[in-house]
Amino acid sequence: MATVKGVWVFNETVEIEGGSWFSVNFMSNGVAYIAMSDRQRETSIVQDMRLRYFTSSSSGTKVYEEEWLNEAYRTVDFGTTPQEVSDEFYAWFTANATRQADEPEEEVGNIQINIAENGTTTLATAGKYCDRDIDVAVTVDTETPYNEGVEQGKQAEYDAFWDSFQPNGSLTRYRGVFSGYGWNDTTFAPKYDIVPSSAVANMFYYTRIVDLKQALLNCGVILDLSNVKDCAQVFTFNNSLKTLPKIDISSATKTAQLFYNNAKLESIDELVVNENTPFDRCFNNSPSIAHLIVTGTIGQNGFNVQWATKLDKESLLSIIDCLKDYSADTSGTTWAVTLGTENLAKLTDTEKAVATQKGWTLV
Amino acid sequence: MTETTITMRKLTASEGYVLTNGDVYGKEVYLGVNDSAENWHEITDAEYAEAMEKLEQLAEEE
Repeated sequence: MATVKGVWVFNETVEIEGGSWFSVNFMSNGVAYIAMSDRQRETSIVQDMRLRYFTSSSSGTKVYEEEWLNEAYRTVDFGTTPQEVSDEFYAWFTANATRQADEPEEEVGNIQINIAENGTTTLATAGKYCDRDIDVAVTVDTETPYNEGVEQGKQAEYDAFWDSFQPNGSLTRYRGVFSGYGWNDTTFAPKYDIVPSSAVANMFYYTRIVDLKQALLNCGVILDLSNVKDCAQVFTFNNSLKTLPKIDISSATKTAQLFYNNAKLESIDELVVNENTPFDRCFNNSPSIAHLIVTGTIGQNGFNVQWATKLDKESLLSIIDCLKDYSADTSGTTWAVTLGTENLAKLTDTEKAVATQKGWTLV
Repeated sequence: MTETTITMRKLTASEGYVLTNGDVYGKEVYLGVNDSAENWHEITDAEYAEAMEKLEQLAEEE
């Protein structure tokens, strides 16, 4: 079945083939019709070639007989909703009439269809008319499903590895877990937050990770050491690490060599401590640290960053700001914070006095 | 308005020496308000290097 809609205009001369009744709703010359019929009768007496429009099955108006009886009848309007008509009518009608464009209706152009796999699609013909065959170019996209398959495979492999490595996020013992040259900014992609409760020594020993902060951000996970008591040697002996995120060692009772021997370590976003946190050679042999913001309280165990000669002023002031006030302590104890000659030179006397007035000796 | 004069007491090691109180070491020391110069003494650079060497060895062993 074909469909017709819109406004059409019959040709000046209509080919009457004869004898057909075509049920179709249309308007012409201000009247609504339900059918049209062409009739050809040729006898020895009469040659009858007529086109009639019908308002009912029994009431018709002759509109064409050899010529149009009224030019207004040439125009027929099928309305805006497509209506089904017989193939016979469509073939005869479109051979004798021309579709009038309903401005601003747009004619359907060629249609490009991208098909990734077996399925259906919709041609973008809404609001458009067409009185011709539509060329449809079909492009079968094999690349997209392939690439999607590759990505799904990668994800499945990633999930399988990390669900096993961090048993569905339940791992709490991280001793040596990310140590060694196999770990870098690409291979280090944990699926779950790293929240150890014990055994973290050598967690990043000799790792090849450079930007641990960004690597964690990329994965949407955190490194949380705030529950760990023994934080010794977590980042010790590294020649790659440059940037660390917030490190919370406020529960630590051991910190020996926490950041020891990190030749390239430049930045620790934040180091969270409390007044009982020990600092046992934490920063020795780590001369590149330039940014280290300390928060919390530095207390009885002092603080020593003399190896970190490149510390910026913000870092130094954060250290001074964290020093517990021992100004009332007259026990004779020396409370010492070791910044080193290079770092002391970055501070004004007023800034140094903030520390000494709190009872701290600056070295 | 309150005017306060802050006195800074600074110890500077002699050439070839390092200041220490037995725990920490430095070429210059700004004493805390309750600290005393008597708590500090000088050791030679060589003695300082030896002390650091011992600490390093301790670290390696750990």
